[in-house]
Amino acid sequence: MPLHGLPAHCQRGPGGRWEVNGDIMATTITKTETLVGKRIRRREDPRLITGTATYVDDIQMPGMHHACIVRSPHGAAKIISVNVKAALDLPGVAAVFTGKDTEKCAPVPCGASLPGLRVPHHHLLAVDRVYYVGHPVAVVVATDRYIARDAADLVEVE
Amino acid sequence: MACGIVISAGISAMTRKITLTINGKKHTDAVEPRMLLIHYLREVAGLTGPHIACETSLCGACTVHVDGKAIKSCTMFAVQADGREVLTIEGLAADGKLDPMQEAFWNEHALQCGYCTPGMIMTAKQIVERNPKPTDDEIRHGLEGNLCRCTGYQHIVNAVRAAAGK
Repeated sequence: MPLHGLPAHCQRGPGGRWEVNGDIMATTITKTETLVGKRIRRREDPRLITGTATYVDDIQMPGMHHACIVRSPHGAAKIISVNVKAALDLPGVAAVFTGKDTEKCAPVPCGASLPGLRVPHHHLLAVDRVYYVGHPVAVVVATDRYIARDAADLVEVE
Repeated sequence: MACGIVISAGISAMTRKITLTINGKKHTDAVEPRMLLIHYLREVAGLTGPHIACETSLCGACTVHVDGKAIKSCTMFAVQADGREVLTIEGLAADGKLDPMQEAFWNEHALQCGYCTPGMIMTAKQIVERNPKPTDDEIRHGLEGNLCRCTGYQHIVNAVRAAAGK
């Protein structure tokens, strides 16, 4: 994929104009071929309107797994235990992560920085309590999305 | 419809054999009865034109035609499409020539990121098939089930109006 900002993908063409992978960039079009006031069609549209574009969700890799997040149904609650045994025992499940596994990871940063602001400690996955409905409690990784969801249903959270 | 037990990825699951036509081509596959049509199209048939955004039938990004009718393919099981004809966005310009609706979306700047566009175009095609001269209100009513988060809809309405009757 061309990264237009990187020098390796950007170089001067034969006419001394900047090119990106051989295409002259719009900003360097000379006076005789001005686009000002013209009705132009976007160059990226053909693949978008024919369904041939590749979005991240369209990428399939060999051995690719699917993840499903187990989320809190409660707005505020204490977590007494998370039992992942039944989920792990389901054929096709590769791993189940809980707050204990990610406790050592750096916390989710807080976007605001105000003097005296008390910033709550947000782990990647809830450790001993949940703060909101939808708070991630566990992540299940499996060979396909249906197995991942089945296994997510088998994670027991008290 | 044949039933069987298929062992895949170490799990045994009931599968059903389905045969359907997608964009004029016959496909036969064994699928779990609970597999959604959108997952079948994208992951089994390899057609990633129809997109998944909400997966709850709100957004319309997964819209395809089944037997000529626009449907949200996340609201339908793959086994329900057995024996039917499915048309996805990839099938519109299969011969290399853009459909007038695709041309109109391109001409009228009816897309930015393009994620909702395949669903928009499939729905828009049904709008003008049912009503070759729709008013703007009728176009907007017809597009109610499709969400776009970048264009603000006006250009999409312009595109559908431009393509109507062509």
